[in-house]
Amino acid sequence: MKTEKRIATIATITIAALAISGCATLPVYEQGLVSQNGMTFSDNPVQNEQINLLSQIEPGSAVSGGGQAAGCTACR
Amino acid sequence: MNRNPFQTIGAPIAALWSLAIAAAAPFERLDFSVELVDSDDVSLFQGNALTSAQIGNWDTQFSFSASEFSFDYVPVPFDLNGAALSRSESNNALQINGRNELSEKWTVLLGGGAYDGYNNFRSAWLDEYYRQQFSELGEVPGAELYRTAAPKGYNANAGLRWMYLPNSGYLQLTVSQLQDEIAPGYEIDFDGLSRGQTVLATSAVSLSTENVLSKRLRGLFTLRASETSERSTRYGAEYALNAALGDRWIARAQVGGSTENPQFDAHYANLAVEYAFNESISLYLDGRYYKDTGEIENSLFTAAAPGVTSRKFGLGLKWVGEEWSGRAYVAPISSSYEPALGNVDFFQNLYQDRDWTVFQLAFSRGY
Repeated sequence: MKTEKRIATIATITIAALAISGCATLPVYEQGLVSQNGMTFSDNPVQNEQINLLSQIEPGSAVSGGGQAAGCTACR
Repeated sequence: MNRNPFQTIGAPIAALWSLAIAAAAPFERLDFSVELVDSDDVSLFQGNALTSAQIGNWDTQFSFSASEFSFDYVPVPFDLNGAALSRSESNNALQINGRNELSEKWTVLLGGGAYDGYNNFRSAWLDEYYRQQFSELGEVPGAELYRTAAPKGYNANAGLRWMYLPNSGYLQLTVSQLQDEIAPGYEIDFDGLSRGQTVLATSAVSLSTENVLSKRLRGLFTLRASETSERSTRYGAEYALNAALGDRWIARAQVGGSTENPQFDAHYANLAVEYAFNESISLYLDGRYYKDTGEIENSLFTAAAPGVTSRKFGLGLKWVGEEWSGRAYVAPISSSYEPALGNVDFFQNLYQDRDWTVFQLAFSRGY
């Protein structure tokens, strides 16, 4: 029962997140605000405020798998 | 702790490595950061250096990190074999990640890395407990199983990014394989000493999508699943939303969680508000809440952590120049554990409530 509840929760979060994800292109000339400093998802430590050592206090927030960070759309 | 973190090896190594790289011309970017997480009995330090270079068609990142974990080991009063002492452990890690844009829409990702040393202070704390209990058992059956730990690990990853909306949205799939040689756990009974796993293999998959949702909203959604030796699959999800509230105000929110059978659940939320004084200088405040139900730790027999709740409030300052940019951040964190289960009574000084302070300093130079 608990497993089913977990699966349902994950599915709900996934659907909700995908539902609010964009599905239309915003022209580059209209992306000034979303491309400014502080608005992009970056691996630059000045813009990325992640604390690497925090996972030692919060074991459930560790990014597992060693995969590459998603980076940012605007600067790629 | 009463230690000067800048006397640790991490900072000098990372700084020298960074300066050496900064002197080299062909690199596109250099990042350098240090962070200290400090409490009364535990001090965690990490220095990181990263540089980016174009090698053929590959945009390649080389990163190096050096960490040092120092702690005061204090056994519980009824631990007759225990002795209080201070211990420090270091960890050095190297990671190389590359991206190759096959076309405007498709990018392939490859990477790999290795580390040497304990990757968290808790493993070292537990290793000290096992060393004091079981390293000199003499003729006890199984005594030969005890060995001095030398943790290290390797990882490899591969991925594919599909830019399905030019400049506005992508989908990225990454698979990873990790192998960790760990400090094993030990247990003793009437049959003698027995040892837990010494090697853990982890397979992981991650799916991310980032989207420009409107003129003022950018979102990043990540799903993760990972499976470690003899454990159930751990699933994680995270959604981050950045909002431009005005020309000078930005809000960044993040919610996430992870779950693993049979009993682990964790969730967290983060909110930051940033105000830009001008194009170069901005100030931000953030807060974070984290809670889990207690950790699963199959590498050790009876050392699973009880549930923990933590809260963080921080203040940061950013400066962005033409070539150099920087950030300074400070935050207190309080972490509190649920009452320990009976089988971790010996670890109550490890799993104790703590007040931490985080310091971060980061610099980046673009060439």
